[in-house]
Amino acid sequence: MSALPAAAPAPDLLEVQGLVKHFPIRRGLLMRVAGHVRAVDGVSFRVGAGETLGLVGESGCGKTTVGRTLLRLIDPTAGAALFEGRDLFTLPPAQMREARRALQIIFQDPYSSLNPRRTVAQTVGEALATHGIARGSELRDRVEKVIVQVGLQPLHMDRYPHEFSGGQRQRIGIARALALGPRFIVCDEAVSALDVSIQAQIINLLEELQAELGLSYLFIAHGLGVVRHISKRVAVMYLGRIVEEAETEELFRNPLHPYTRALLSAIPGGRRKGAARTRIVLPGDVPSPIHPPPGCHFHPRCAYARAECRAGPYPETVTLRGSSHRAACHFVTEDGGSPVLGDPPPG
Amino acid sequence: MSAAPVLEIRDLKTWFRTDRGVARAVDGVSFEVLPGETLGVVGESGCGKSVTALSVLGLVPKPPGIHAGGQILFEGADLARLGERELEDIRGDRISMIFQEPMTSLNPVFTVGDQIAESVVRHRGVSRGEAMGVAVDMLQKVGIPSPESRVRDYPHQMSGGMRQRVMIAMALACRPTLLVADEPTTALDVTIQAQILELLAQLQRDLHMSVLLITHDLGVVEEVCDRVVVMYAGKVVERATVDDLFDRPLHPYTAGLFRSVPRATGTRAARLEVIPGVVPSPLDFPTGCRFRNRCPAARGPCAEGEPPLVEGAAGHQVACHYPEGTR
Repeated sequence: MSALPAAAPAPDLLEVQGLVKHFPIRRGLLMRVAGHVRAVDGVSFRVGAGETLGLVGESGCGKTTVGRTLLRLIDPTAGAALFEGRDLFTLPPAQMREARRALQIIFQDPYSSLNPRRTVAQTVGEALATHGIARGSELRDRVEKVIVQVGLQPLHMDRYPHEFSGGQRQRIGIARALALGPRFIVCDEAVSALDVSIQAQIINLLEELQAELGLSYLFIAHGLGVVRHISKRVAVMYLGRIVEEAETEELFRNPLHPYTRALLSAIPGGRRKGAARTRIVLPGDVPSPIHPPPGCHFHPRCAYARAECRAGPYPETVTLRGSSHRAACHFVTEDGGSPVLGDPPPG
Repeated sequence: MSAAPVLEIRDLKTWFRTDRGVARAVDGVSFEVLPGETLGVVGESGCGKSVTALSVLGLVPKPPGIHAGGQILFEGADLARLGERELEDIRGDRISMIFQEPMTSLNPVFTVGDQIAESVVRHRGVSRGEAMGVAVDMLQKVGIPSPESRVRDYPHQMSGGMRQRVMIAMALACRPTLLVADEPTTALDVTIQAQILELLAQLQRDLHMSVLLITHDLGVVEEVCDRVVVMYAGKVVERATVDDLFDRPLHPYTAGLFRSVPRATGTRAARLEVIPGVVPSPLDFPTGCRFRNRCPAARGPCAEGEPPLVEGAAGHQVACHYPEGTR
């Protein structure tokens, strides 16, 4: 965990400290714990009010688990998540129910996350009814208001999910999340399954709602173009840890961690066939989070790794002087020094 | 580029009978694949790009599929007229394929070596021992470490990236003239995708093979293709070299797609441009131009005749009454 910069741009709505989630692996007749999947292994970040933090990384890096622990859909192993100053992980059930009104989630697949037997009005109004906030005609009015807010029409209220296209279903998912008037929404791959023409509609909607309602988003995604477009800041995860975090344009322009640099360079587009190859192709696969490599978890795939990366402690997070740009690499310095800025890697 | 095409598709129509009528999934598609080139077919869900690929391979189930017209010319034969036995002789030998999800295309109860060797035995008539030797060579070619032992692995013992390498080894074992790759890297993480794209490009050069690449990812198209076909609602709306298409898109749909993709490089748009509305149902296409309901340039004549695919610039065809830059 690193010292974060004193000058945060917006007052923090959410501050996550040292979040850990280890899933036990049970084996055999007695279901003994045979090991742990270290899905999230000490993650800290802040999200300001009205701000979007992008959380990126490849399959298995732990980004989805981070989002779900915040909503207590999964219980964390350790750490704290201060939401408006209160730790979500230790709130008693009654207060957690209260906090849930302010914290919502939108999932990737709008079809499997909507109940096929419930009308749009029932799905969107469910939480309002459960929380006893509204009923009868008032409930219907409030549902209609969010339905219109997400770009659907009142006549859609009594229809079922199968009658809608993928983009419209995602609008229903957004309406459901908005119904309780949240301040913070976890968008978990919220636009990843959509075609590009529809994806752009939903991204614009999320941005409009943010401007209008002052929402904060934790935008979890593997699509780096989308994350760059929507996020104010971006954090990059690898094997359960944040390896780098910075203001979006700073991160894309000046990645300091070798993993971030390789990840960004792997994005297809912008180069034509036969053009000079500047791509960094990482060797091998992401190692298993059950047995992460010793030392820096990234060292087996890192072209710059030296002896201290292969053994010893996980690298400390270094924050650049006068900036909020931070990276967890032995060779990143406070002056912005990084192995990726020097000579090309050996071999 | 005067060489005879490896594959030539002429006015292909593949339709499906459904309870609610006939879905015209592919509705008059023409293009050709030249020797050694990569031709990209790009479009959104339901545009007919995958059905086009399956038609080339003779893998559209009939019924409900119907070959409603057109030709698929490959090495002097019309694949659309061949029987299942003749198609099996070609598939996996001169035309091969890889799909998005390697796990569903690999048989979980056979070793990867068995699965690669199977097609070599089938098409080359060699002994199983020789075929296993080919399998080891192929695993080595696709970059799988210690291929002599991995050849005895089962698919579940491998990662997603490794499985896609095995799929490629299987597809290329008989050195096909044409590889049909349907979203080959879509299910993979971006760093693994980079490995697989690099591998495909290298093997394509080594084997002097043509690739028909089906994808929705414009970034992938830009990087690996020589020429591109853009499909919308069962039709080809634009056809050009990758440079012409990306530098000067002519169809309003293509131009709209480019503007709606958030880019990871270059300048960041303040707001994404949007193509309004949704793709029409293949059961009920609009009259005239199928894009007109979503098109910023649509005018009266667009509702009448379907615009034919015509030369909009040298070597650059477009199916639009009012292409970009002419309005």
